[in-house]
Amino acid sequence: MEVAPETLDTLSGWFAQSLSPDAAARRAAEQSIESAKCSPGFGLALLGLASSPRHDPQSRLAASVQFKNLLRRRWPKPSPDGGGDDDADHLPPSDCAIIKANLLQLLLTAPPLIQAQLSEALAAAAASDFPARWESLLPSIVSSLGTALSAGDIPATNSLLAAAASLFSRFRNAFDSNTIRLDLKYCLENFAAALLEVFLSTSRRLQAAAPTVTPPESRPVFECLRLCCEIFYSLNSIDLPEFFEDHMREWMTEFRAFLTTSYPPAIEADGAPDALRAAVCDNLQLYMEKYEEEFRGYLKEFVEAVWGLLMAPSVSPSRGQLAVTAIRFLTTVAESVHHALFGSPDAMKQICDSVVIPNLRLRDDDEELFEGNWVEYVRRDAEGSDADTLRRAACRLLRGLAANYREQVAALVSAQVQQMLAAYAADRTNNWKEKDAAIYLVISLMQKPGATGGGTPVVDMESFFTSVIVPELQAPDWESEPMLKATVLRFLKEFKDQIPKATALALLPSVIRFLIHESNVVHSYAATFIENLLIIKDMVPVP
Amino acid sequence: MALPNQGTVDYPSFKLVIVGDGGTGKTTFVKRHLTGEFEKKYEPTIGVEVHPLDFTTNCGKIRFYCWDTAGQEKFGGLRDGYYIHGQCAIIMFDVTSRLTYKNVPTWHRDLCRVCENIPIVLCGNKVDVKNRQVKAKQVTFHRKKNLQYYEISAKSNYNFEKPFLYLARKLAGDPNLHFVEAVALKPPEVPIDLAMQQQHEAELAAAAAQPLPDDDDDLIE
Repeated sequence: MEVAPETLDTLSGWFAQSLSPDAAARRAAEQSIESAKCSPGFGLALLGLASSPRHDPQSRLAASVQFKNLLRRRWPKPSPDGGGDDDADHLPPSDCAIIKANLLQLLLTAPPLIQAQLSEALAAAAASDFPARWESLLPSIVSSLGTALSAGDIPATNSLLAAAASLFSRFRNAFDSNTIRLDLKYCLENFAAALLEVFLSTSRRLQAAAPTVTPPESRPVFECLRLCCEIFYSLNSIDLPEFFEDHMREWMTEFRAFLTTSYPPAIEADGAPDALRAAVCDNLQLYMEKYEEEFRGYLKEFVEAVWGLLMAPSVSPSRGQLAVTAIRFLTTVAESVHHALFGSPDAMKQICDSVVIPNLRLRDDDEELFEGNWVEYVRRDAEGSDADTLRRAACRLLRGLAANYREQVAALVSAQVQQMLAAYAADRTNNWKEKDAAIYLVISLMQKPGATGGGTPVVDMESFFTSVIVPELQAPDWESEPMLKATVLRFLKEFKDQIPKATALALLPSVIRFLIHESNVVHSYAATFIENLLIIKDMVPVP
Repeated sequence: MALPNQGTVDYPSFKLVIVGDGGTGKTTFVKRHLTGEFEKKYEPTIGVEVHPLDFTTNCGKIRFYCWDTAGQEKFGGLRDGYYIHGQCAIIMFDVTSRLTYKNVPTWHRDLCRVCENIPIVLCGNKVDVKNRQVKAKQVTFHRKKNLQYYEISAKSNYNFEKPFLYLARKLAGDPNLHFVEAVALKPPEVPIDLAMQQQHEAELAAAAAQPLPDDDDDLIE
């Protein structure tokens, strides 16, 4: 693939100008680029510039972006009526052939940001041509993977895996059909064995190197394994393929190793291990939901591994997000026929004490949200749709357990609530978050989830109300600890139906004070409660 | 420190990319800050318009070069080619149009592919309109991607400075940074109905009692 150097230089200059804030220069450059688009070989010129080491990075990136856009708009797609006016704007078949012959190789040698664009360009072309009209693509990827693996070239391996991941993502959320199954069969036959080889080889490499390696060295290795997990998810999304059923032990052995191995603190702090673990948990979730019969033999060891992971202290910046994913997996198990794995008193107590309670407490992020973006905080609280937060995930796990072990969960949570309230009583200034967590627990578990379902009784509502909620409302220091006050007001909103009218009216003066509270969340909650109170009618006896 | 081809000023300046579907109010939002005018007539942006926007903070002056991009496909020009060297971004959607929220993941993906690790604000615009189609509880995309979300209304000046303040704090690495001089704006064309907003929250509280669906699908049916 050859493009004249002067063409590349001219193109590079135009792209540099296209990034100028000066409108005249920018528009002139855009005009030039627009005119050039109609010239033969424009796509090849863009690809040439994107791949040219001697041109400056921003022009190369701009060229790769436009190359991707060109393929998205002008790559020939098979039309149902067999052609028409659309053909006029399609890239010529000869250009397409050259692009298909060269794109993968150029992608492999490109810098990361350009690589991301070329990878997307490849996906755009593959969307219509792969696999039937681009039969060389997957074999090329597999062959290049073998070469990269032999050379120990992890970055190249990762580029190839990322390309494969984009090809296979079509199987996620796909409607099952003969066409998609034939495509899947083709991909499995050509790629599944190579994937397993890369996965096992890289995992061995990680195990051998982990004690001494530094984060910049280990990050690509973790990324490689994470990409393998992403591809695993795609290839298993439609059905459990025979290859993966036959090799389940090999995959599951490595998955478990990632969950149970502690890597050196510097590597954990990098966040890469947790990204891998989150991908593993997604795969476990998929197998638990769809292939429970085949997966059950591994279930106990994975519940223990995920559980142990959640109990381990961590320096990882992305542990929070991993915890949400991991807790979701445990919740799925707790709600399934395998709930007995959590059934013993010891197990349940550990879950409650070591997984749920630590994730309930307010974090710095929550405080920042409360002060800086109060509308979002109110919405998140009021809607009950904070599905991706740790607090919500932890409470859903408890509710999942309570579905089968109501009395045991009630007793454990009740003890925790009392413990939290005692900690608050001992040191109100420093332990207000304990009281906040206690009230949050009560709200979450005692809420009635639907028309028929009952909540889990963890406290005597009347005595909790009079001894925990009312004193906070009537406290002389009503302007301090705004987050705690907001949670107390939220309690009133959630359980207003259970508060006798006379009691609610007696509290009105205390709540009215909060209308002038400087915190937006607090005075909004107070206003909402008062509004609800004023619109409630007494039940009228029906004659 | 200075970016290639960037105009030079003697205080910090940043390239801010504004993306989102056509008609969501990107240009109106920027013009509101520039001149205080609220543009009623819809005129699609062609390609990109670049507007320098200055703010005065407690740490001194800063400038955002606002790259206000076309939302309509046919006027896209270089499309995501304009994102190159973006240092922060706003993704705009219209709360009265479900489709514009549905397309947010696509804008986000294209943006992240060109600009790595930049602070991004998701904005739901036109919250002064009563019959919104995208209810507050349906907006969840930002939580999964660690974006900040603000509901705004260019027409009523509701939350108009929040996106810039958030981005300024992130870029400066200073959570306590604040604006010390308000941009002079014309009075709001229509006051936001705070009672209505309160009503929305009461409705949301009632909805909160319903069990949550356990799906990861962000799309609205």
